[in-house]
Amino acid sequence: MLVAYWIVLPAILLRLAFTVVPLVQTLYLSFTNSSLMGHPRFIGLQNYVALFQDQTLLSSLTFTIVYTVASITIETILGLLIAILLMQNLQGRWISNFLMLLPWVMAPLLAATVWKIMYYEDGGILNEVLRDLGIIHEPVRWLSDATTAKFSVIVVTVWKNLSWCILIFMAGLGALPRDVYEAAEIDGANAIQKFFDITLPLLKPTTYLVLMFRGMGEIQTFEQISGLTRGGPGTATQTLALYAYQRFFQELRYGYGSAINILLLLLTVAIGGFFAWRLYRASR
Amino acid sequence: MIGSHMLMAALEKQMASVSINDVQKRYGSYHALKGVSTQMADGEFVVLVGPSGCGKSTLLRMLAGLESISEGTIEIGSRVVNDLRPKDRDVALVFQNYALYPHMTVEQNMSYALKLMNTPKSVINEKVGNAARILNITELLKRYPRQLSGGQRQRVAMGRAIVRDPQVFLFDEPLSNLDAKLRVQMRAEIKQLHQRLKTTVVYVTHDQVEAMTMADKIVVMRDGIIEQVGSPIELFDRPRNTFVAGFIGSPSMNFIPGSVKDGLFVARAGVHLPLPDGARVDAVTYGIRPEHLKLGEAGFPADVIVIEPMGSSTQIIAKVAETVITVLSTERLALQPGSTIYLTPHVESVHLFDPGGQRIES
Amino acid sequence: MIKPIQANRVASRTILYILLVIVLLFMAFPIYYMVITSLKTPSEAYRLPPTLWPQTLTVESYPFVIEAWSYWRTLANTILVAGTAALAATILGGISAYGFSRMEFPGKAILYGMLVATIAIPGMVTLGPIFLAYKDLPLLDTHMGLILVFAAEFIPVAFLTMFSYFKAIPKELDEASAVDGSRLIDTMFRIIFPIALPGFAVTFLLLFIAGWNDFLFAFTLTITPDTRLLTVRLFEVPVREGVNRTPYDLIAAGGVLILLPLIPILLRVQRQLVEGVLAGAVKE
Repeated sequence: MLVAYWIVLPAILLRLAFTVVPLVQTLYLSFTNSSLMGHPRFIGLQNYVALFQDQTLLSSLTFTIVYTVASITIETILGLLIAILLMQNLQGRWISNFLMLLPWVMAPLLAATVWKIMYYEDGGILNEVLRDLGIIHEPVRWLSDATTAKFSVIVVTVWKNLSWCILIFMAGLGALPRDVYEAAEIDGANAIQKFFDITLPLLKPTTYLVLMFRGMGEIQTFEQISGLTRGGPGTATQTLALYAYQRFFQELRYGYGSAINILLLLLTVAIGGFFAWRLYRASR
Repeated sequence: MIGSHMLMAALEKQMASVSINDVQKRYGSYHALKGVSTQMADGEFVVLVGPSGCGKSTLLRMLAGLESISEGTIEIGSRVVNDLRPKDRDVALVFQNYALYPHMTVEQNMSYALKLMNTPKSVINEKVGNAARILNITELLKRYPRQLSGGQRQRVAMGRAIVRDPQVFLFDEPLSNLDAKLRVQMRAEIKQLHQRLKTTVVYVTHDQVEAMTMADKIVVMRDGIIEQVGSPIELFDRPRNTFVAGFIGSPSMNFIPGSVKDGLFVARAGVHLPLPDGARVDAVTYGIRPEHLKLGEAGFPADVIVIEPMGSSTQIIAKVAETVITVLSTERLALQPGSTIYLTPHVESVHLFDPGGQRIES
Repeated sequence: MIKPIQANRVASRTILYILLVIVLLFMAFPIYYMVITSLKTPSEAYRLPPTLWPQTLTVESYPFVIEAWSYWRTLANTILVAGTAALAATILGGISAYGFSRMEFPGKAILYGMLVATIAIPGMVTLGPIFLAYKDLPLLDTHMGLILVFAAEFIPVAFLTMFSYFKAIPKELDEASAVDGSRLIDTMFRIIFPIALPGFAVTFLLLFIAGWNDFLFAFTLTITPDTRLLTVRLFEVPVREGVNRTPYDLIAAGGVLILLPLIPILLRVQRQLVEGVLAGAVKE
């Protein structure tokens, strides 16, 4: 019996050492005014109160939430549709899968860097192509206009994460029972009806799984923003994680930065927990 | 549009016969069905039976419209249905694995087809209620498939088919996944259902017992062709070849190789078997069913290998003429393996087969 | 209405292919653009409007970047860190997963829950205390430090993947082996692990990719150029003396140098990923 613990615990302990232990420390720090200078003093909830009077934080929070919701919605819908497309027995399976998986192999920072080059405004490839196609007349200010920048950032995130969503949906679709579709065919369902009456309901667990992981992933977004806009213009594309990083590592205000991090943690747990609960209910 | 379709279907309900005309099926280079033809009358219970890979399920699925027809035609009622989609053929299929919609209740499973046809709610409830009552599943209506046992799921699958009131019921090995006892019970229920509803049934199975007990007409298939079509008794008494003879009847017919000489059938090891009058000379296989061999004092000798007492009868595996045979006796016997028994065949029930495996008519 | 089965077959197929091409174009174009930009001459790279195909193909950007980044050194660093961490996590996680799949012990559910729940803890939240701790240890700016952090980060994925692999291997094999007289260690390493080898391989490769692409930890926990990993180099744009324009060709070349080594790994893993997905369909 003891042997079991020897086998099971090393991995768990390593994991806990680098997640729970630092987490507890972050929590502690958030209640102090710790920084590079001076001795840290316990200040209770002061940091948290300050958080909600911090304009930058509030805008970061808003943007993070909007960005997350928009991203996971698009990723889920597109992911499902493209997965269905890829399961259609078309030619060139292998090359299709390869190309589809390329964004997945790219570092988020690299993805952001490449898109940044394409987003270049005065004569960047994106604007040029759109202008040649006659879709736009003025160059789009992809990354320098506050509103457009938010949209541009979401596009990059979706582009990067779509591959994973497609894979998971393909797995889910592949596990659907084939004879149920034949029964529906005989009952008289057409393709649309089969999709809405059978495929979608049966894919609920998979969908919630995707939403859960992508939700927890997008809400922590740091690298893409760093690579694209560093939070700009102004604080238009500032995410919570980026802001936390700036306060902690650039301004070296450990206490305040930790408070932001705890807020980030709460959001992550909230969105992850919500979809985990839906997932649990859907797979009973 | 929908109205006229249903009117036509109602009229054709009078003659829901099925006609299979020289149907072929190819999967690439694989020739699954090599030209099968048969007719099924309205209201008949037809069983397609044969070993795995014989094409019976393929044929059934082509009837349903789940597989395309490479050559030949299939008619349901008087319509050629080759190019019709399943829903337009007015057939219902009961699947081997039930194929119930896992996320819908029993009631929703049974209502789905009607809902797709925009049938009014009251009509749906009535039909579903009726079908549920016939199948004794009324109390299961609000449950989900995962909460049901195999037998219950099978009933729901049948209920889903009944509700549609189709011209033809198709069954694809529906009892294969049930345990033996349940299978026997469901066999009788399906047969009763057929007697009640009087709809044409095409039933696929690999189990010849099911075929024998349920069918009005049996279609024996092997390797993509039809070996023989007939009533159970016809197939039992007058099988066309060794395959059908060995397939139908349990325990299966014994085959002893040899040749005809001087009015007797000479097998190996010097065993001489009696022949019926007028037996032809080109017979090379002697077929006799286990129940047509009588134990006694006289007859040809056989060495007992295994005794299988089955309560009211006894099955004996023995060796004669270097061939292993089975004898079925309606008595209880106290025999030892290794002992010798003497068997007399019931000469009128002997089947003789020519070198090609075809039965020789006497 | 009674419709013939063959209706619109060709038309719908064509639409599907068009959609497929659009999707693949979207996924692959940024990478294509990155590659060709890296092959342009500096003047063409700066040229506006940009071209979709280089007028002159040149690889002169590559030597420049290789120099500027100390590429071979950085590459070796990345392989070392990502490889070691992936290996460690795969082995530790695999062993732990073996224990969970075979044995019963008190607190099993709790430990499992702990392992899985830590997924909800964002890396950013743990980064601060880890940084501070490393400063004092000192593990800051060391490869060992990075390896530990990465390995801890990888444990859940390694565990869950190997867990499902082990669940698919019947326990009867272990029992037969025990009856034959082998000790637990022998059963584990001589019998079960070899069977699960494909699972270990895939896990290792997937984690290797993750380590290769990490930015947050690599950036924060390294300081001197000698320890840096590839993604961090990407963040610091290599500049040309005396040229004030953004060197797209250099950035693109850098991107290619980061992405290229992963392509063979993707090819190797792709089949297993997608086949694993479709295996569910074949099972029907």
